[in-house]
Amino acid sequence: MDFLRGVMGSKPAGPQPTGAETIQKLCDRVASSTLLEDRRDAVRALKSLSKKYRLEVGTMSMDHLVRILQTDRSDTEILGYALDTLYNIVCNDEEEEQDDSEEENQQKQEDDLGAQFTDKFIQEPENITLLLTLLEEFDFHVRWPGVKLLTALLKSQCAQVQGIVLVSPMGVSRLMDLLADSREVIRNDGLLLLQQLTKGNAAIQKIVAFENAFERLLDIITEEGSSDGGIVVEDCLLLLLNLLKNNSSNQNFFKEGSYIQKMKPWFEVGDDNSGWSAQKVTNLHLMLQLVRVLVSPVNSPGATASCQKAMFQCGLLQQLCTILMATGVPADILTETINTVSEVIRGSEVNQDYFASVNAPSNPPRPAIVVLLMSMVNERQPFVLRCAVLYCFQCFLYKNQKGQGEIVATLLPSTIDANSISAGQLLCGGLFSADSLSNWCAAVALAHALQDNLTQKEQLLRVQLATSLGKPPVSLLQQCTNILSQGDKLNRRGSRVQTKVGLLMLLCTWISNCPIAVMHFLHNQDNVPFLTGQISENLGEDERLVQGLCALLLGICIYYNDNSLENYTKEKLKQLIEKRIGKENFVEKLAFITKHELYSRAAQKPQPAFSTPEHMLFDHEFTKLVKELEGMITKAVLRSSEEEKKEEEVKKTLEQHDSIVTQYKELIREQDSQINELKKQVTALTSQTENLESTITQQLSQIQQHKDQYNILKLKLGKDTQQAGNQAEAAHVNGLQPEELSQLRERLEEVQRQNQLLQTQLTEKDSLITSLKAEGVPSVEDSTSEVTELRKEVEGLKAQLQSQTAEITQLQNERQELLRGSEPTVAVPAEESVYKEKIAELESRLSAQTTENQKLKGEVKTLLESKESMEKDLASATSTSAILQAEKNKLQQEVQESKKEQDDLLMLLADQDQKILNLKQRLKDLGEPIEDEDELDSRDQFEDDDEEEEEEECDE
Amino acid sequence: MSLILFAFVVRVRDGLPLSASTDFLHNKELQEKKQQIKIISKSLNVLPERGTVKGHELNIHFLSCEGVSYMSVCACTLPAATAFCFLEDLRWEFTACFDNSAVAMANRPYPFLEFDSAIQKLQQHYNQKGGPSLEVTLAEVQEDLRSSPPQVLTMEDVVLSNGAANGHVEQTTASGQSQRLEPVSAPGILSLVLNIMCAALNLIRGVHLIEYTFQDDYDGLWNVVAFLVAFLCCVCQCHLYLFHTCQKRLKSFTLLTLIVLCNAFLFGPRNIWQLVFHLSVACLSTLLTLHRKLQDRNTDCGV
Repeated sequence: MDFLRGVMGSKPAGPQPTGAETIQKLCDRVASSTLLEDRRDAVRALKSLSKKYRLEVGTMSMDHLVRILQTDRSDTEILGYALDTLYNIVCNDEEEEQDDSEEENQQKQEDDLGAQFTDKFIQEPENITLLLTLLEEFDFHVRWPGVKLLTALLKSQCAQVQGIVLVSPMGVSRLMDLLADSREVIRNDGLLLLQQLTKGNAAIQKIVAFENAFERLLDIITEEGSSDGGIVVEDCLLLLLNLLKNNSSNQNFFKEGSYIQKMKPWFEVGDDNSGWSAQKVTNLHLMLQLVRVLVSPVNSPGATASCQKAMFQCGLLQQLCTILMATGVPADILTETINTVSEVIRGSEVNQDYFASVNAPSNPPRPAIVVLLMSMVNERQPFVLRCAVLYCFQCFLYKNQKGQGEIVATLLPSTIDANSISAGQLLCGGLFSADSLSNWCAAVALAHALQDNLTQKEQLLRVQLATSLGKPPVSLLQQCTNILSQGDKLNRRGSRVQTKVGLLMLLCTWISNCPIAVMHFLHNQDNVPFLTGQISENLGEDERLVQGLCALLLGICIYYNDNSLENYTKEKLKQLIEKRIGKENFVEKLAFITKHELYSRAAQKPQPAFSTPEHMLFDHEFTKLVKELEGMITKAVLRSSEEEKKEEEVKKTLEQHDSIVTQYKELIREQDSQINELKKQVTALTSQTENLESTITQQLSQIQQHKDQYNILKLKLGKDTQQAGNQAEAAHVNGLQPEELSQLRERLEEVQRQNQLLQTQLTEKDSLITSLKAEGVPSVEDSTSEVTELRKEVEGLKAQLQSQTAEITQLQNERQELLRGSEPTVAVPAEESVYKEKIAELESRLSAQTTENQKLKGEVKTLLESKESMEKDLASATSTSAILQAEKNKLQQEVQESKKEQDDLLMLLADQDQKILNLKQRLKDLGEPIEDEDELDSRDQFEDDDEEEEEEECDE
Repeated sequence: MSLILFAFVVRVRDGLPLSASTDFLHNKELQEKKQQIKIISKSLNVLPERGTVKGHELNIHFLSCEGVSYMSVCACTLPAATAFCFLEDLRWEFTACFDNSAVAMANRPYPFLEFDSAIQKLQQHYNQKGGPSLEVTLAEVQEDLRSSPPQVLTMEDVVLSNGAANGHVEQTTASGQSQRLEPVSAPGILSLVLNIMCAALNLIRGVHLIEYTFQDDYDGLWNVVAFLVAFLCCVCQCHLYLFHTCQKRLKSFTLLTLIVLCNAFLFGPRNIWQLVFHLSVACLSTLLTLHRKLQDRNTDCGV
């Protein structure tokens, strides 16, 4: 021992090298020692040093600790120490707590150190997987530090650890089991772990939800005392918000699992005034936010509507309204409750109707809307509360024409009740008060009462205000414009721009899409000069927004103008803009609205969320209106320049008109010629149709003739069959006489001979048929003769058929007799065999003959068909001959007529010759010139006589 | 067979768990007792310092001291003295490790869970030996229990008192409409000025008269009382005009009557003109007070 002391004394080192050396030795013991107890003691020592010498322990021992986690899984104590050490290395919170007195730079270094160790640990994903398997250990001292370590890793490098947990099998399921642990410490830390795990990762959120997370969390909340519970309830609610926010599938899962119904008991706050603790306020605030996530306007409309319906049916909305009307509720809870009720009733008709029926517990009872509006226009109320009330009023009127009508009705003279305070009176009071924020809120609220409702816009024009005694009443529209134009003269608290912006938004919403309101607005002579004066002035930055809104209002007057006023038609207003303001300047001022910073902020979401009252300028619905109208107004104002261009185009078109007309004329001429050609074709076609119809009638008559002939033939065939039957009966009678075999043999020979003859005849007839087919269609006379010959042949064939059938019947009878006779003659087998052979031969012959008969019948049918076709040809030939004869008769008649005419002509010629002779004689007799004149007169008389004679002949 | 199965350390103010045993035992009644302990911990404010809740096989004992409560689940066979002796030892160990400021600042449950190692050691010691290491300690606890025995409770009592536990109460902000009066008018200002003048005069005369009454052996005592009462009435009239109260009409007429009576009583020291002045000022103030009304709506515009 003295020797060792001397050695230690010879090396006097500082504390830092001593700590590093100690840690190095401990790491060596962990790595090389074979005894479990030695390794355990070494890890315990490392744990005790890990907070003080964090950097050294982290750099030297992390690999060794991970190896211990892998190899020494059987010993829970060493696992606990190792996990605690790793937690101390990775965690930054405790270091921050200890180093509160140090500088910020050093804290940043500590944070970087934790991040570096986290990166080192998660470089191998197997480490996270190993950690997840260690969480299955039921020992408290292993599971608890494991949960804390994983939470610290998630806080340091959230996305990477989430990815590794997501990929590892059963990773999320193991973490979900932490919520079911009966030891509250592990359950509570499990909640913190899952909060970090589900932050910003939709896939993990879905897996956690499907692992029955909602039911477990709601059970924990109920177990911990719901809103009266401690910070554990807050952790559960934060986890639920992580799962539901921006995750539509989880929201649907939450709704379909009927978990909305389980939220109702949360809001059953007691009526006692025992007060609200800070934790209770926090818990209820988160619960309200959870309700708002489900019915947020950002969600899809279908999902929001179904959640709203579920909340009404299970009584959650009723419970929230009870909190709303209760006394002693803290201000921030009241504000959040108002926002929650707003989104539950937004766009839902059933919920809005219920909200309209809610009454405040006061004497006399007042509607909840009236009580809320009192808070909105009261400048002593907190700013956030007033914003919430405005949002509630907006949501109540969103897609609720009935509610809008009720609000406006409270302003109309016929429905005013002087004893009670109505919503309309409160809004007018706020609109005309000295507080600019009240002006803005009341104006926006009234604008929402007119949103997308033409009827109420017209109704509101009837409202009359009594400004002071002795003066006549003024309309609401007029009073708004009066305040707008004379607002600078009044002493007003707050910013003037806010009041002007509010009133201008109300006027724009009122006048748009309502020509009657435009007419009422323009009816006042002072409004248009005021607007043009405002737009044309060069004012400060704040006033430019007012100028833009004035430009928008003037543009609406142009676009929705029905030209009912003579002094302010569309054209005159456009000219006024061009003269006083300038179109480019007008468009520039109009575009300033959309370029404003607060405009884009208000357009993001419908809830009015402003940091300070001065930023309260734009409303969400108004931004939508501006988007719709800006493009249309600029087009309407700039249309006049386009019209000038159109006039020039018209002149050019007039020059081109003549050429077009000439082209059309040419087209018309072409069409006329085509029409004439078509008419000719039509006439030709009609004539063809007439000819075809005549041929059809002729063919019909031929068909009838053929039918008659066919019937006659059928009758003949019937008679022939009857004769054949009679002959068969006669043969049957002859068969009854007994005869010898020799006679049968002779008859068989005769029958064979007859068959041979018949076959030869058949062959001859077949040749005839083929020759006929080759010849084709012969002349009429030939065909008729052939038909007669064929008929004779057919008759002959029929006779042969009948005779053959008679023979067949005889043979059958003989066979039957032979069979009867063969029975007693059993002693002669040779003869029987011979008889059998003969019978077989006879049967075969019978079958052959039957087939021949069928063939002959087929031939007969074919011959009949050919006969019919020939008859048709005869008919057609006769018809043509008849036509020709008719033509011949006509020609003969014409010849006779021409002959008669020739005779008449000869008669006339003869008469003329006689007259000429008479005239020559008279000329010879007379020789005087005077007589020559007499001759001319006489010639005229003769001509008259000739004409009379011709007329007489014609009459004859 | 273990005698002490579970130990629980909790903050009395709001029932926040501070530390507990981390061993897990598959015992159905133990789980039920754990649930009951949680319910009891929420209402320790209204419970006595020492208490016992009995069960079939297991009992709950708790000891509250210095804002921290020490609770345990023990077998019925364990004597109460031994159980409370265990809680006393637990208290010594806990106060030695953690101070009151750390306990008060804790906001999450189980911030001192490392204390479970001490709980385990103590628990094992009592389970093995059946009592503390020193017999003197047990004797002292027995004497304390004999002098002030622990109260035996049932779960129904605890549950009823649980409804009122909400922790510390914060100030609440009132909501709804607040009442306001019309702005002060010129006659009102005149009335206030005159009323203040009358009050001053009454006060001066009263103080001056007190000196004479001391010298003259209390002959004019009632006059002094009359002057002071008139002074108070004038001040009340000013207050009634400026601020809104209920039953304004009744109060106004009462004050007017008192002023008239006081001035009538003071007919001797004052002449007729002074009395007329004081009475006219009082009437004017009463008239203006009654005419001033609540500001329900703006008078600029009426619908």
